[in-house]
Amino acid sequence: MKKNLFVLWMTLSLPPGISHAASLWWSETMPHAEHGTSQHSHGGPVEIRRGIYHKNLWLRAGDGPVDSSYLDQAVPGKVFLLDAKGEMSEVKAGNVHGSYGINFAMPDEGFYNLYLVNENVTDSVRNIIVAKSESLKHSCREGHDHVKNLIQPNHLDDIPLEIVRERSDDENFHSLIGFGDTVRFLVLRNGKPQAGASVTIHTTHGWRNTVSTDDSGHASFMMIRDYYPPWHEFERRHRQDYVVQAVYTANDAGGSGQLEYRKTRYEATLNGSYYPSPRDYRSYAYGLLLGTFALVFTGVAVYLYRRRRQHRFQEIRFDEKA
Amino acid sequence: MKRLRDAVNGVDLRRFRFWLQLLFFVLLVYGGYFAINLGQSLPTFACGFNDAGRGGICYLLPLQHQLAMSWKTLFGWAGLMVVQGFLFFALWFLVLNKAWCGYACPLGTLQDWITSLRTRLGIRYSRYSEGQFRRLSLIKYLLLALTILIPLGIGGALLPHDMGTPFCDICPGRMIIPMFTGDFSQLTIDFSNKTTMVMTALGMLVTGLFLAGAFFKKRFFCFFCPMSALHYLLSKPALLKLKKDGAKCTRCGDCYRVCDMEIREIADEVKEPRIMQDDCILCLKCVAHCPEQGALKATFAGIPIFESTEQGFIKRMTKGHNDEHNAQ
Repeated sequence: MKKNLFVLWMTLSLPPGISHAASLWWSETMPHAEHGTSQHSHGGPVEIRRGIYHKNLWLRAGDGPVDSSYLDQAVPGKVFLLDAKGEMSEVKAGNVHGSYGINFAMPDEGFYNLYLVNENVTDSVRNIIVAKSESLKHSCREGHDHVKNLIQPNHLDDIPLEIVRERSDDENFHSLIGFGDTVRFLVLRNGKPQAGASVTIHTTHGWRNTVSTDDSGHASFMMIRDYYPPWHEFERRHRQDYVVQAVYTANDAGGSGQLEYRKTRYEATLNGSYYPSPRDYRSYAYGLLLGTFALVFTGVAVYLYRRRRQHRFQEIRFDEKA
Repeated sequence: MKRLRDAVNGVDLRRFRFWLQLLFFVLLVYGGYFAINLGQSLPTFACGFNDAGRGGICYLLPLQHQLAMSWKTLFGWAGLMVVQGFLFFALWFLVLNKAWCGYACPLGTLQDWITSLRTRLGIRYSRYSEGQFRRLSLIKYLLLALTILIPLGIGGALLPHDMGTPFCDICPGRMIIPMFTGDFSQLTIDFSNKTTMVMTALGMLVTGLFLAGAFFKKRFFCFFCPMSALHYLLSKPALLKLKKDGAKCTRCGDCYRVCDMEIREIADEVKEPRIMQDDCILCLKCVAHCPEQGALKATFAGIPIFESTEQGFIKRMTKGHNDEHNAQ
């Protein structure tokens, strides 16, 4: 998807307290529980104001949900929103429920991509960090037409490094990534597949795995099952965050402002959620057993009832002479 | 005009109904493959769980979803959406009245096909006694009340959210209709919590009961269908109507004997012209089997479209006799 990105690269360093090695990524998990909870929707938690869905996302720094902190101050760089209609606009991040984040409206059905692009030069290395988040807006009240078109992933050709989650063939508005599912990602550098990028996935409970993209820029992971509560505490809608981080280093020396650099380190992040798989809690065996039992029991009951009401013909002879 | 009217009145209703039911079945179960979408307020069991093929969605599914919203939302702006959905439902319904059950409902059609199978196997069907009939007829109103009250209770945080669509959980349509598009995922018990476990287990039990019941009893499930109860509440202003002229009725009882729903009033009632009862599915078999000229008729917006005639009766009976003879 070719889009004209009017990004003005910032050559500012990151705020104090954030290491240059730390990833930046968007999270939809509310940082402070005392601010209440969001409403559930098919695209994750949202706030609904006068019928319009609003998404809250917070910027976090660190590797994965376990080791990341929420930020309380602005991060240099510009934040862009690519809406469900493909229109791009610059949006303003700020304090959202006590931490640095963003709130945006999602009036139309489909995916909204949020980008934060940050650039800095440190130790003669140019670091370009792209934090991206994909948010789905879907309300069943608006129907389920043109699902395939609306769930297609969007990307921007001008983004230095971008991760795109590829959709499964049977994906629809209600699809969730579950334990055991394989999730495929495409890494694009300036809109073109990037081979050899290092891609790492981090999950809520600290599991991580790193692979390299193949020649077509693809990397895939099978989501592990890492949720083992007692049965009475099990929640099938238990949401767990994951973060995918792609890193690629190119030996393209140059200058940015007054700072020289020897090489460029590109880093992209994409957040998402996954849930317990229906395979873990749904049973065909018991279902079919119960259905068959009801079918056979009813059939046999009707048969026996009918048999009981049948009376054999019995001839009664009267001896008129007696 | 008279020739056309005679042709319509002499139509082979059994064949006409079979093809029309098949058409509706394809439309509602496979319509999605042809990009057909009739919306989500249909007054018939176009199952919403049939993701791939559905040509529309049964109104009970969105109704339960909407009523399960928090009371603050439901009695605020979202209440308008509930009203809007109900108006669309009513508009669809007013056209065909309860013929949605007799001609369009995929679950009803399936029951008719199961009945045909039983007939071919030469197994006799069951009937209810009058007392059983009276008691069983009330179950659909109880189910309709629960279909509305349980989601409302969820919206008020009185009941667990996992009961969000209580009727769909136990409706055999949820299990059976998606199978026609290769989706067997509903034939499962959901062990994620006690509520879903009980509801999905009930659903599978009702499905087994449905299949066996429909084999022995014509239109077995329609006696318990809350959609049928909802229909009856709106049936008075509908355009399609069943009427009876009691003065022409000889009380031969043919109409009662052919009625899949065992509605006795169709034969006994001779005073009230609007004869349609809550269990009626407007299949019009009673009209087709009535030998008295104009005693029973179906009207659309007051215009008679199909009425009983002696010629039509004789024509259908002769054809039925010949078909039976040829089958032997």
